[in-house]
Amino acid sequence: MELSTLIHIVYLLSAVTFILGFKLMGHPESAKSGLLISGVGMVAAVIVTLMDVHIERYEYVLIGIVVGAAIGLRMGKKTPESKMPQMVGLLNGFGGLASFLVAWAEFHAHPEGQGVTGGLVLWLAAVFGSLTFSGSVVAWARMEEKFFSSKAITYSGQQLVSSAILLGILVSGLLFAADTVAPEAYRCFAVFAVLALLLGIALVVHISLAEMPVMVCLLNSYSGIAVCATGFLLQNPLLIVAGALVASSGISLTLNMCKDLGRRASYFFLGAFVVHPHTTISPQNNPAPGNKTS
Amino acid sequence: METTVLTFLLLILVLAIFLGFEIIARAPALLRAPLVSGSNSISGITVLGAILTAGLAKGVGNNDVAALLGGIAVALAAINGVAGFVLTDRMLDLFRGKDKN
Repeated sequence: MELSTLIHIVYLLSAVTFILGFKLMGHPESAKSGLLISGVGMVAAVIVTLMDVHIERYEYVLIGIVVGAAIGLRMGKKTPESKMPQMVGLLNGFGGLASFLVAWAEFHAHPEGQGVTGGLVLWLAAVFGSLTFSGSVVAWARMEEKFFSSKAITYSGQQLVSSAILLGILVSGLLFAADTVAPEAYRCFAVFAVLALLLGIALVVHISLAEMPVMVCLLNSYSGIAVCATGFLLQNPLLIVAGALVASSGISLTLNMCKDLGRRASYFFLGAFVVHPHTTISPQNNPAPGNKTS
Repeated sequence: METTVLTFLLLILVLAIFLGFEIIARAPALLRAPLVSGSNSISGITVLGAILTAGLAKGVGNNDVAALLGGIAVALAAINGVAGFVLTDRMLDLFRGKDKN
């Protein structure tokens, strides 16, 4: 059997473990086995990817895996129970930054041969990666009351500023995708990367701390979109399946959480861009910050 | 990108989106926090893309810088995946403890 066939078969099996894993994680008695099954699928996918013939040097790969796994293990074990919700936010930020870096590296190495479709998926991966990163880190910082006030920040003209940022991302993205080899392409890339960082911040500053877990859930599904776009960029079906599952299940979870909070979903999806009537939540529906919606 | 490849990948995308919406639609509210954490851990799968980028051939074009960026991405995605897995596991232990008491 050819190596590439083996890789694709293992990818297929990994996709099955993710789907089964999600399914099992939705029931209290089987949640742990669901997590374990998807973990096994993830490790198997990493192992066969390491055998890919396109990998021509291993130093960065191995250093990255060893250092990342060691730090990840430590962070996972040392986080106190009360700080778990914000830690999920921070980790999600790391995932977003990783997707952004993959998109950037891909563009840096092969600006040619992307075509308009390639340019568009590269833009999507970079934008969603970048805004997931900044949004998640600010969400984490506000929940930890580090660097940022835990109070919601609102100012007049906020929606206008956020909408202008979004417009800038769209325009620079279209210019970028139209011709990824043009001399200005790199400048366009830098513009939408920075604007997406700002947009990520704009998405979370007006959210109150009690509602932040919902925003973290939504940001998690944005990182799924980034993973999915990276999958299109590298034409990797497993990334597309896993990213789409994370994105759509995250949106479905967000909608359910909104129902519990008595909030319109549009407040979380579009609250940064449209003035939203502030409906106060009754205190008994208002969970403490460390106490995730349940 | 070839049109046939693109259509094929889009088909996978659409099916996976529908599946994602349905699969945890009836999950109890109690499990939402670990589900967010667990799916966050799965988004660490972006490590596959990072590995392929970090392994780009030496000395060709802009590959060296790109491979370094890929290496950093491998570490970040691995943190996301591993820490997310451990955290979710601990969260589920907490719930199990609560159920017994």
